[in-house]
Amino acid sequence: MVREENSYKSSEDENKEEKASSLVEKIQQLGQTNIPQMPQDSKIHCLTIIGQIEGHLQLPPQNKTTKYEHVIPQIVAIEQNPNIEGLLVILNTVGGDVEAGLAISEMLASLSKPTVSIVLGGGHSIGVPIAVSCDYAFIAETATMTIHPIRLSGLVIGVPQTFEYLDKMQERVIKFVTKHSKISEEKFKELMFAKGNLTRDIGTNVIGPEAVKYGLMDEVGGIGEAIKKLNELIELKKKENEGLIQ
Amino acid sequence: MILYTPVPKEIIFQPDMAAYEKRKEVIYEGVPMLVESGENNSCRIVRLLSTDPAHYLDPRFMPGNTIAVDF
Repeated sequence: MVREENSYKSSEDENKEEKASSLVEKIQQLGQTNIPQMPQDSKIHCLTIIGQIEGHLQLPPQNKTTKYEHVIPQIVAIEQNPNIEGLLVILNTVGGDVEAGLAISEMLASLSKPTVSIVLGGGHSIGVPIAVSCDYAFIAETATMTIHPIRLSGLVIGVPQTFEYLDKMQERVIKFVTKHSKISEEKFKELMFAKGNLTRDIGTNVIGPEAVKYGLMDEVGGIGEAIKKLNELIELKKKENEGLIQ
Repeated sequence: MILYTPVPKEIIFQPDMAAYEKRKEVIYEGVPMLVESGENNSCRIVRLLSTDPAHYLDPRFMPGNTIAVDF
């Protein structure tokens, strides 16, 4: 009898220990204990554009990057999957490669499903066309967007040919942004070439409500507003499709 | 030392190739992720690359977890 009791006790202790160790493991790995479970496949997918947008040059592995070879197949998959009804794009980027950024923007703009973007923290430089490429663009109140001319690095280059080339490249960005948002070309250029706002550079750093005022973004808001808008757009799209059948 | 150059920092201070080789993108149970090689055929999850928010809620795919995949 005594023996049995002992063995029962020890197994209980083991159980406790196991539970504790898995909890400790979770805390070590994630810094948190439990996350809620989702019942089924989500109809809204979420694309995060974080860190630097990587182009032809591969950045060191410790850099946090968004690679177009990841993002573009994901957008293609989202377009093709009938279970996915909408896409939420979350941006917190410092910018990066112009060509890769424009490629992602064009893909998002041509997506047939409703898209909503939300800028948290920062959506700088080439992050601007990505943010405006979605059907509806949100910006968090504290988030900022830096609008500046295209350059190879922090320095200004003086060679006329290089200038011509960069000017054309810049024109592509300006065209895209003005086409996909309410901002006028004059205003966008004015912000881009503004002096005295940035250290050692020309351009403007626009913060949340300012971006909305200039017509660059649609609304100031967070995740709640963004999901609500996305659901509205999905409903609208559904109704349109029903109308077509009749 | 101050370098005055238009050349990006990443080109001047290139990381050694070993750092690149340590990490790999894999698809594990249908979830694309970035993993880092660990001891005896196991990998540590660095980051998920999926767009499905449900994947991020699965405790098996928590960043930091070790999974058994051939590196």
